[in-house]
Amino acid sequence: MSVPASTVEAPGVPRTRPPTRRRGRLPATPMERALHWSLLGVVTLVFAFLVIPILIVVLESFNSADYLSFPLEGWSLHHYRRFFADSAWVEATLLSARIALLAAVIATVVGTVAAWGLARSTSRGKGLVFALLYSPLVIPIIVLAMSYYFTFADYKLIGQWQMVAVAYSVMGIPYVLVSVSSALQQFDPELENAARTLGAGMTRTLLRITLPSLTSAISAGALFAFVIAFDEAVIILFVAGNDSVTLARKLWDSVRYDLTPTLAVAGTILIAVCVGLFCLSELIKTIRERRERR
Amino acid sequence: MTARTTITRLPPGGDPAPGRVAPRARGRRPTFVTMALGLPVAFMAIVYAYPVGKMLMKSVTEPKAGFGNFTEAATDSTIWDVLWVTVRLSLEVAVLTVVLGFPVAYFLARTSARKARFLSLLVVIPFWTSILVRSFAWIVLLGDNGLVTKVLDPLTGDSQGLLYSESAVVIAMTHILLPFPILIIKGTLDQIDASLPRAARSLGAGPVRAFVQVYLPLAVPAIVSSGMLVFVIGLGFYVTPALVGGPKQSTIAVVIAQNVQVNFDWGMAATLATMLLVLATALTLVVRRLTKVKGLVSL
Repeated sequence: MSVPASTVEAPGVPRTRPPTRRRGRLPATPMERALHWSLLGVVTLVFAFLVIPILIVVLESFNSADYLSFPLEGWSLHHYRRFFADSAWVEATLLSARIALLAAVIATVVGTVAAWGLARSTSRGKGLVFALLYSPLVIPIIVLAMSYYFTFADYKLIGQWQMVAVAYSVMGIPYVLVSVSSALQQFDPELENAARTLGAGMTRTLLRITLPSLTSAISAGALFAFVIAFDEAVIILFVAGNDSVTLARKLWDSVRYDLTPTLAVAGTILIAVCVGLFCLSELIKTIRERRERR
Repeated sequence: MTARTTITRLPPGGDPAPGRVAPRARGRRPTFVTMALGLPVAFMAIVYAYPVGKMLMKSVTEPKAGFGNFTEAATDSTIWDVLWVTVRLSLEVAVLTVVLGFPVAYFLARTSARKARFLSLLVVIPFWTSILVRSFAWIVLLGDNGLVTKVLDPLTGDSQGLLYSESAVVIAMTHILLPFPILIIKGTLDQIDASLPRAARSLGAGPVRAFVQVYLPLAVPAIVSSGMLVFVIGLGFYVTPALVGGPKQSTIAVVIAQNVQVNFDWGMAATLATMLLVLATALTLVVRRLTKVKGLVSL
């Protein structure tokens, strides 16, 4: 399948699952059996490599010792108590949530509107529009960080959380755009025309016909935008000032100066929020698939 | 369905067939479409293109107008060292992630759909976890009291952790970027007709030959493009080399940050960022011809 040079995905081609694979027969020859088991061994090791570091962070947060150690000295919620008693950590967590929420809202609105516009436009310039909206995904983050640092510094915006959220929304837009665009490919534009023919205004058509069938794609994009903003740890190092110390920023500072299990608590919270939201998006996806099958 | 496809399903940027005018749908006011494109473009111009443009300008205006910063960077041997470290790290990570990722992608593509879905979670959850947290995890694991150090201790007879070395950075970056090749390659392997290697087998090829000569060639584009994607992303890495690496693992991103935070040399920071941007963009254009990144979003 050739992919048009001007686009990253192949539009118009419905994503079809290949015909259900037949379960491979049990390996017959000793050669095949050896290959099968070595594959299984390698795969297990790689999965362990992927998962163990995440588990270690979660485990360390329950360490009863005051320093990072493995195996754990003992189990305790000591560091959680310490984390939630420290107003600096709690405020950083709340600030992260607030910034991520605003960023997700902006990214969702802009990304959804743009995805609809791109799907309905016949203009020649739409490839450029797509490239502009998509490019934050591929631009190195340190380059974005420099760009925002210089701009914020020149306009005395350093430390303003609303501006940090705006900067983060730019990073979320590509995800919303791609997610909603692929849903719009499944959406028959004749439905919009039908509503218009029946006398509905354009605004009403979009709100009552188009938007409802995009909700799951929009929420998936919004969750992604939220997670990106909640986690972001490079731009914030330059634009936080004294007033916008997010959870990631505080974690970064603490990693450099003192390595304590309290950091593992902060890390566990970051993991929990992102994994929780991921499970939520999986749930939405499952519900959508079930509805489509009906 | 076909009519719909040919009329409105143009790829972004794709032109209608010559001589055919795409018919405007009945009653649709074009102002809505224009606004739906115009407002996001205006937003991006102000909060994205302007700051990036400003940064690019700084490379040729700060401290004085001209290409002085670029000639300074090109004649500075430490900058070349940094570039070499950055490229070497990214290359090592790209090769490792593909080598480790391919067996997993192959396994996921061949196993039952339900098992694959569950195991994909083990790939996607690390993918959703903050890079900062994952770098922190490797500080814990590779530090002097870390698990890896303790396990390797009797083997190497050396109680020093790997932390702040090139191996540490490569391990941590491999961990962070591994989900990309797995998910991209799996997406391609899912499309390969499983009856092809079976046919090769029934025609007398051994299992290895059927795999190498029939199956693998179909996966090569995904392998190459995911490796290049990891390479490009690796070039811009900041958090991991800064936290897990030592001074010898200063990547270009680390040096950019130093120029801002320590040397207060905005011109040089902007110059290096411009060079990184040009390099990453050029490579991305190549990757984009080879791959669809779409699968990563609709996980």
